[in-house]
Amino acid sequence: MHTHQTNDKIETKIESKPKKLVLVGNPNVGKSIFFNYLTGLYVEVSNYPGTTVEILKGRYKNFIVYDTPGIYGLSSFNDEERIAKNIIIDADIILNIVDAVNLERDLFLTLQLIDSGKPVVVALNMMDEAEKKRIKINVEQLSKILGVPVIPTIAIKYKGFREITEAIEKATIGNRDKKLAEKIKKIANELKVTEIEALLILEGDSETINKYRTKFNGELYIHDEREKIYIERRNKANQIVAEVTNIDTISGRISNFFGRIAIHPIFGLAFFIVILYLAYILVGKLIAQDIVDLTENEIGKKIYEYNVRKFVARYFPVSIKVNILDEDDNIIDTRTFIFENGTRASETTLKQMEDFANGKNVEYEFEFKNPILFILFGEFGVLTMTVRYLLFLLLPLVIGFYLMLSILEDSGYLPRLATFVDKLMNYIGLNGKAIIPMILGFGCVTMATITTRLLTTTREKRIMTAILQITIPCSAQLAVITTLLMRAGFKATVIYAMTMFLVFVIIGLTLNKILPGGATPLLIDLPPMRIPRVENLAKKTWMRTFYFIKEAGMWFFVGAFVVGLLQVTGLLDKWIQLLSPLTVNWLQLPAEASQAFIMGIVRRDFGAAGFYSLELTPMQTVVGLVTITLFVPCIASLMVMLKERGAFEGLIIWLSSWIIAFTIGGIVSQILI
Amino acid sequence: MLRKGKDELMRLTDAKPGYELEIVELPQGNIKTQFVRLGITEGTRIKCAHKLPGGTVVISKRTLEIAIGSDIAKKIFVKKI
Repeated sequence: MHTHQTNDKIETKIESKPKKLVLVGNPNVGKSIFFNYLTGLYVEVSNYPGTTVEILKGRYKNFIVYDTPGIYGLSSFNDEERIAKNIIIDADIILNIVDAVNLERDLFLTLQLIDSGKPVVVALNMMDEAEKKRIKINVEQLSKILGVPVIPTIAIKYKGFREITEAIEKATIGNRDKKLAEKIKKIANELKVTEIEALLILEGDSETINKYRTKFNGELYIHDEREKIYIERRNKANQIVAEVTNIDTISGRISNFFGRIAIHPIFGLAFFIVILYLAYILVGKLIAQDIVDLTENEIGKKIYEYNVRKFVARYFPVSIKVNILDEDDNIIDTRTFIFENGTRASETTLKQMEDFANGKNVEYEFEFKNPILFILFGEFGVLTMTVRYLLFLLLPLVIGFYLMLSILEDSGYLPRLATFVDKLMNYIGLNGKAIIPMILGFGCVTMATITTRLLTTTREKRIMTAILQITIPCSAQLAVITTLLMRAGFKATVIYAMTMFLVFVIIGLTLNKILPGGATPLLIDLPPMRIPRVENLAKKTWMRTFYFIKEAGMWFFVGAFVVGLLQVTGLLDKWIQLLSPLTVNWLQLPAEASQAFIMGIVRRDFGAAGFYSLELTPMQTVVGLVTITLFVPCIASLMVMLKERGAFEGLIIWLSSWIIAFTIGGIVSQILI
Repeated sequence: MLRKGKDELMRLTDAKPGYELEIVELPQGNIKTQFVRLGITEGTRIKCAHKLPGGTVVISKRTLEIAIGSDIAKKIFVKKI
């Protein structure tokens, strides 16, 4: 957020101040293709000041090009609209991308932009689809009525792009509504605001009005004529469409086969299951199991961590424990070698160690005596485990999940899924859109917590964050849970799944009940289902992944550092001891299980993995897994949550998960064992 | 005054898929604003395209499809045409 201010300073220094070209359009009109075409590879992702929504910025000739979130009009109904509006307020030229198929819907925004008095160029996109649907548009006439250049384009084929670049240079202020323009000028003069702000004041935009609240003498909405202006503009848009388009009556069905079955009450569910299964094959199996196994164990552990530690061990005191493993990775022999001054200084011991390990399947455990080295390169080392975790475990997973999300988004399925699950989500105080962070949560809770931003109200973000952080196991943890449940048997699996689902429902219902307010009702436009474009998927996935690492990456390091400190100072052991009575008496698990819980604070899957070595009965496994799933998410998740939701709310959610985990775990234990 | 037959007013939640409808009344305030932007005003002719259990309704108008949560749909009055 602070970086933006410095950016501004740099920008103003550039000679012949570059103009701001802002891309504006309804959602799903192909805006990103225009943006990519104009800006090329060098794109900057940043937060808009005071908000958390990412903004894309690039350069084209002497323009700074901004991409904005898809909107249906200029106003402040949600974060995305607010941001788009704020960028548009500062725009020098607007490139308005319009969907030729939905001209009637899109023209409202176009007319509003023209009314604002900014120079506008209209790209009439998807002309090929309009043609397929037998919609003929008289482009020349449309341009004449609007008073701005209108360029027909087919973005996916880059058709009309050269004409767009020419038109940008000679963008003009269009034919504004005369009466409205007079009022705008009067208010702009009276209140000393820009014309676009005057328009927003006339349209009752709460954010703009609050910005100038001192100028209204207490009567804030004195100029508000929103409904009248909107209805007039809507009628004008409809009239223009009637004048310039010619629609062949046999235009056929609106949405295709998939579009229809996706929201069918019965087939919709089957469709969803098929999609989930495909997603599972891609992300759950291919990436989470096969690729991550290779990257995390083979590259991360055996190559990266081993070599980093081996290098450090050359120069500093270390004891190295060498475990000889059999084919099933069981330890069959073990020896510890101590190097008082690093491996470089005592070649004989090194030789002994090499002979001992020679040709066998071995595993090395390095123990550094120096506390700083321990924090940096030890078991949970900032430069060992954290790097492995972030680059070799999380990165492939996050890419996989973002790819899946982009496919769902670009194909047009996501809004239909949101429609399909809308009523169910209402029960827990959310609307259908909340399905997105929920699905992502099964990938990485940290990533999903960032995604709660797309929800409209604070209440919704609050509920979703709590549900994510407490009840949703991330993929790393899910993998360990699955293995343990396989061992514990079918009955245990069913009990675990039922308990988790029940807790999920109870927490959702409770939050919905105790938090004032209600769910924002769903009102979304369903874009047609289409095959996503690979290029767009790649770009989107890359941008999101990059943004995730930028936003969350640091917290993984901070987290590891804190745990390292606790370990070195002995506080971690104290904590484990403190927890043991609870573990033994209340949860009826072995005392060592409390160590698993503490490890769960660092990484969710570590917690569950701590149960591997314990001899647990199937029912004890259920108790342990229920508790560890409900227990606090990983430390990076906590950090991101504190940032997103604030320290107070974040800590309440974090502490609640302690209480909920041990309460529910205990109850399950008392019933089962 | 509710009259039986063709002009009967009903809530959008009571419409069945396939019905051709005219919007008679939209809820006031921000919701109306959003409908107006999308191209739906009082008097607009639409079709009830899908209805999901729980009351979420999908309406269509030419090439446009809009999903409406039950809380809004029950406040929209329509008549069959």
